[in-house]
Formats: sequence, C-alpha cells, structure tokens
Amino acid sequence: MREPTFLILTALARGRHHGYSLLTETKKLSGGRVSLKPGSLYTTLDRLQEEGLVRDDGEEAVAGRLRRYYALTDSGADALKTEADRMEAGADVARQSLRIRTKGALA
Amino acid sequence: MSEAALERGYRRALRAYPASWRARHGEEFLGVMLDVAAGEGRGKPTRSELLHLMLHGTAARVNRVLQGRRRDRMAAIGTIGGTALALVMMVLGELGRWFRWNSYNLVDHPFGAFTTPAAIAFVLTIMAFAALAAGRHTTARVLHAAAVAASIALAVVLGVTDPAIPVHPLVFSFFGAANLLALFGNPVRTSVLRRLVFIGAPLLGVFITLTSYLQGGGAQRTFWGGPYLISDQRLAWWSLELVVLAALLAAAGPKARPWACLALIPLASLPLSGMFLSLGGNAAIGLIGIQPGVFYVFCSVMGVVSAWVAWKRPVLSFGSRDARPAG
Repeated sequence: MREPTFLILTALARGRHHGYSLLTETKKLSGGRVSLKPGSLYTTLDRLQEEGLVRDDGEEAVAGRLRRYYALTDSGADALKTEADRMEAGADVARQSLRIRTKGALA
Repeated sequence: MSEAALERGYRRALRAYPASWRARHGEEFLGVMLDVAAGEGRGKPTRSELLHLMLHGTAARVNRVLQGRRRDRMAAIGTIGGTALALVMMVLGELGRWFRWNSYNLVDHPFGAFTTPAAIAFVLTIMAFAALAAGRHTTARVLHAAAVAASIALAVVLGVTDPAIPVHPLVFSFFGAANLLALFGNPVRTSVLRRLVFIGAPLLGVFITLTSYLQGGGAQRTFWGGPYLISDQRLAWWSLELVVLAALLAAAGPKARPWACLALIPLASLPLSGMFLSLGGNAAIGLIGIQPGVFYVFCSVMGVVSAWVAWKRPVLSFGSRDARPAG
C-alpha cells in the first residue's frame, strides 16, 4: 500500500471527510511530508471506491461550493489494519536489528 | 484574477477529464481546487496545477475504458513475459558465448562482456523486475520506460547499421510492447498478482531457457539470426503472440470475457506448439514428445472450460436473459 493511500484511509478512519479536508488532514498526519494534489487525491479515491474500501457519505453545499463526503467501509478498515500490522512488524524487526548493532558496538 | 475568472480557468482545465467523471465529481473537484487556491492566496491556476490536471484527466479517460484491475493484470502479464524472455535472451544469446559451444568470439565483435547491444534492453527489463521485487515502484516504472526507449533506439540503430551479429527487430518489438504493458498499471497490487509475478517470471524464464537450450542444441551461433527452430526471431515472435493474447484476455470486460476465452485461448496453441515443437521425439536424448496436436486439443478444451467458468460467474452476461447484468 503506498503512503498516500495509507494516509487517506487513516484520515477516513477518524471520520468522514470531504476532498479539501482530506488534503489538509493527510498533510497533518504526515507531519507536512506528504502534500497531496487534488488530481492525485481523486484518482486514489476513485480507485479506493472501485475496490470497495471507501464509499460516498453524503454531500452539502457550503458557500456555493458542493462538498461530497467520503467514509471508510469495513473492508477499508480491514485493509488499513492489515497494512498497519505489517508496518508495525517491519518496524519491530528494524528496532531489534538496531539494538543488536548497538550491543555490538559497545562490546 | 477574480474568483470567477479562476473558476473559469479550472473549468477549462477540467475538460481533460471525461464527461461522465465531470458529471459525477466536477462540481466538488472544482470546489476543492478553489479552496486550495484560496488557502494559498492564489488568484490564478499555476502551470504545474494545469499539467497535473491534464495528466490525471488522461488517466481518468484511460481508466474509463480499462479499469484499474484489468490494467494491473495487463501490467502483470507484461512484467512476467518481459522478465522471462529477458532471462532467456541473456542466457542463450548474450552470456552464452562464455559457456556454450560454437559461440561468438572476439573476432565477431561482441558487445563487451555480452554479445549484442540488445543486452541493454534485457538488462533494463531485469532491473525493473528487481526494483519491483525490492518494493521500489517508481524506480521500476522508470526502468520499464527506459527499456521501451532503449528498444526503440536499438531497433533503429541496429536497423541502419550492419552489425556483425544481427538481432531481429521482432526482439525489440517484444521488449517495447512488454515493458509498455508493464507501465499500464501496478503489476503487484494484490497478493495474487504479487505471487504470480515474483514466482511466475523467474520460473517461466528458467523453463523456457531449459526447453529452448535442449531444442537449440546448445550452440550460440545458431541463436542470433539463425535458420534453426529456436532463434531470437522465433522466440520473440512466439512470446509476442502469447503476451498479446494474454493481455487481450486480461483487458476483456465481464461481458466479453467468455467470448475472449473461446477465441484467444485456442489461438495460444499456435505459439506454444512452435516453442516446444522439437522438444520431444529425439531418440538420442530420449525426451517425451509433445506433438503440436496436443497443444491444439489442450488449448481448445481450456478455452471452452474457461469460457464456461467466465459465463457462470453471476456478474457476467453471456447474451442470456437469465444472467444478471455485469457488475
């Protein structure tokens, strides 16, 4: 799973979002590292909807602009959990390796 | 520039997207663009923004014709076919002069440690596979694009010069097509595709190398431009046929898939029977014979069975009133 996809699913796990709030939320979640553009966001949202990980969740007009909300599906939550577990396992291995390296340096 | 003018600029740029996409997302997307511009204190679209919209609009048009999953399957086919044949060409054609009998030597002007400049296309294809295996998707895509460019350039250069060791243009046609297919989508997006690509490509490469080696008698000089059964031209042609047939099958939508199975799978028997024509019937080696008729029958039966399986899936329509419409 690529990082922008992971961030979008993570943002949606916290609650429904419309397009612009997804852009700001993903940027915040990545600590400013990942700054999605609207074109990339909607390409990813289209794909996630095709895969059944994200669904439409209503729309409203605010200041004359249409806002459509998106929400995470149960399949999306499962996919996010699987990816988070995979990343956690990878991070644990990396930390163990670094501890071994540190012990080796001190010996 | 006023907000009305900014909105007009974005609406013009949004025409890069297909009409159906604009009908569904156009207004909300416009709202997002205007919010982004307002957040950045901009009064006009930037050039990079417009280019970005053009690229993603084009991608949306392609996706309308070929959805993501189908493109990913086509990309997997291109990756598997390209990597497998690159391995075959490297062993039989390029590095063969170091261990095969009746090989090219220095007076034949080989290409450094390799035999021909075509090694550039083969190495780039193999490196793209390695990058994919290492999880470096962007690097893999760059290498696939480089392999396409190298295939075109080499076809032109070797076509106008008169190299001592000829490489048939079909070889470059295959690698250009396979690497282009690999760029269509993400060939390892799902776990099934990942296993298929990472196990299938090397396995197929080893299998075709061994069977071609046995049929070719181990002589390198008969490989490039040779009149014998297993040559660069014939291997490239059969591989191109198989990759194109497989890609067409992968691209077929739910309604077309049963018909695609009925038509395309039996056709695969032609290149397959050619590839293994002289594998058997050799009394000296004592291999099991595989006559072309075996492939014709097997592929025809597989075509009918696959068409039936594709038809029976509830999302497919096979022209019958009882079937549910395609999903």
